[in-house]
Amino acid sequence: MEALVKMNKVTKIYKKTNPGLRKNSVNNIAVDDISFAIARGEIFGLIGESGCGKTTLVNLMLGLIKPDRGEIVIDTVDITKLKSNREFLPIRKRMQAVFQNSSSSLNPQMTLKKIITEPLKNFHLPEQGVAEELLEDVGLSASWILRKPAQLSGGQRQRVSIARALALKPDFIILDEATSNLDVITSKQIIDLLKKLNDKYKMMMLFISHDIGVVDDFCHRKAIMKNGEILEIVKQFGPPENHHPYTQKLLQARLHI
Amino acid sequence: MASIMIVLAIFAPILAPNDPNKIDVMNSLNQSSSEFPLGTDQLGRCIFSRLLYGARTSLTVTAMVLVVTITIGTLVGTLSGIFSDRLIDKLFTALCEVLLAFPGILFALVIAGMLGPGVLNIMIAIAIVSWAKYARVIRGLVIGTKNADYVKAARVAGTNHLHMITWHILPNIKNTIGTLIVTDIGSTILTISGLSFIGLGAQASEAEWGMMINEARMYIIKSPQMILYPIVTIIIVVLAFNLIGDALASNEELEGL
Repeated sequence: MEALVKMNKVTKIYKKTNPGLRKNSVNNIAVDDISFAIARGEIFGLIGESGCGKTTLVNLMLGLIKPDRGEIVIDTVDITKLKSNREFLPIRKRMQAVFQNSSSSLNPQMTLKKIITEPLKNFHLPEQGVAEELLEDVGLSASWILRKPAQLSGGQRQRVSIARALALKPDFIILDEATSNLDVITSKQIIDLLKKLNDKYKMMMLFISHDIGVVDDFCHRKAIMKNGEILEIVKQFGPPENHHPYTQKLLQARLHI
Repeated sequence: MASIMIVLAIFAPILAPNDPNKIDVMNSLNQSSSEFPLGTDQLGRCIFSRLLYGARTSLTVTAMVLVVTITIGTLVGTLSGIFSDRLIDKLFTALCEVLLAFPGILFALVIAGMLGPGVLNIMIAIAIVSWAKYARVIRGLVIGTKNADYVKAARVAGTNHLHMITWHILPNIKNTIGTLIVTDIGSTILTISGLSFIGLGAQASEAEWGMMINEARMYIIKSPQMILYPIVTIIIVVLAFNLIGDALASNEELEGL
């Protein structure tokens, strides 16, 4: 299948300068020479422990930060070469994200209608009835459009985040630990919803999680990440001994829980 | 108490039993009477009427000083916070550091001394000294808010800088700015009265609490109520605004939990 997103030898280094008179700087390699490609319509899983560089990878793909080396190609455009927000805007329309913390990813001052239609306003697209339709798409009542995030549960807020991400009908969505803060039942409901939306809209999804079980169940291909590196990419997990020692540990931990 | 004082200030022309500037030396330094509820000063002017009109001067000047300082502080602080670590932020931060390095009241004295006595000039002097404090606090608030996930999500959705500020950042810090303003009303009233007391603010003919204390100090033995009433009024009003500020600040802390 044709690749929609290609990461080619991407490296991101954070320089930490120690305070004081002797300002020694320490390099922290958050993402180390990573290469992979994700096809249109594919659900790609990324598994890794906290601090392994998953969120840095998300920020790089979303163009929120620039890599130190390598290229990130979306369709045919290398987004690392884009210089201004204006140049980035056509790409923004094609990619959206859902973040981990449902309580902080929605502006508490805005109504659900304003939250969901904000991306449409930015691109001067028609808003009539879109918020209501998307709320129903994600399993919420259309009559809730004037509610504020504080009136919703964690799972409902995450559904609103997904609705906002769908507003522009993007080619791909990045789900950064989108189910990590939810209880098991709500998490399962969100995964089922995402499967349904993937079937309906055929959009690429990058699903990031530290839960190997959820990723295994939901994603077409899975990448294992540790210390800023991709250790292996698999379609199906086989017997633990066939995998990288770190993947073996993850698989064994899953069996024991 | 604070709202009573605001109402009294607004309706001073109706509520004042006498013309605050009407000189009647035959009635100077009178005790309380039905005609002069709090007695008269050395020129026979009604102290009660002068206190009411003084409230107008003090509260109007305070309001105008705070409007100017908060406008400049919000503008500078927001720009600085949005473009943190860029040249504009470094310039604004350096300017604020320089202004905050001066002892505020002395700097205001120098400016007021240079501009000459007068209510407008002390407003300018206090505004020049005070905006930097707001700018620094607001810069911190903006930096804190711009790292929230909903701002990140808005960036991904293509929201521009102006909408980022007006839709996401200012609405979420407005309560804290409001608390900051109310907390500062008391100290601004004290500064205005202090500058008027030393002759840099209101002129002798104008009814102003600081000026009233200044005029009354010569008669502290002969007619102590003349100095007592404006002092008590200042204490009550400043205390009332400080208590409101404290209550709002506690409320903010509770909301932040």
